[in-house]
Amino acid sequence: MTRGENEQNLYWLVARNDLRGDANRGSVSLSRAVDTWYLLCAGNMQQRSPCYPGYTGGGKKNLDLTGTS
Amino acid sequence: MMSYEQIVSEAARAARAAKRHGKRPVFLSALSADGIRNAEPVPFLGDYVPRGFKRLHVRDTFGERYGHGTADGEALLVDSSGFGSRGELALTVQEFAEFTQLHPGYAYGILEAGQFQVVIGVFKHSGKEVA
Repeated sequence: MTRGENEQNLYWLVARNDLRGDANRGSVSLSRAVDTWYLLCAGNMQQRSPCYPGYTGGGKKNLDLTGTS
Repeated sequence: MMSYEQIVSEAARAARAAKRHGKRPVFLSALSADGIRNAEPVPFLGDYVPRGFKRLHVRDTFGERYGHGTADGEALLVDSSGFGSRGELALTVQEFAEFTQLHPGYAYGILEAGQFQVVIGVFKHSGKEVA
């Protein structure tokens, strides 16, 4: 995975978290999401992983926020 | 939401892939909060334990604060969504970094990946001195 792909996946993750919109927790910290993505999701990246941009979460279609698919 | 069966199935698949590709737990000694983005990502190993490594029982080794990844305290539970807060059962990624600083010399691998948390195993390498 290239750095550029990393960045795309990262933006997707952050956008997904924002869309999740947990009102009780407030907005996700961008810095925290970035750190989390680099350390945990990048090592867990596979097609059926929650960290993967195309992950469908049990059949629901994700929005394409990366513009790559 | 991922079912438990999905999580177990993904972990089994990850274990096969890890063995096939020779993945190893990653050493994250003294990982600083600033250094997280430059650190090697924690690999998804499932229940695969590479030769030369031993997986530690987290609660027995590091105490009651840790080990919420499994019912009997075998592994760390770490937030992978960015939504977690300090003091919850799942460590935030910064708390995980602090754990690596407090306990240098260990290696880490993802055992299970749920939708919002990952279960992380702590490994000791038999050929490496552990502080």
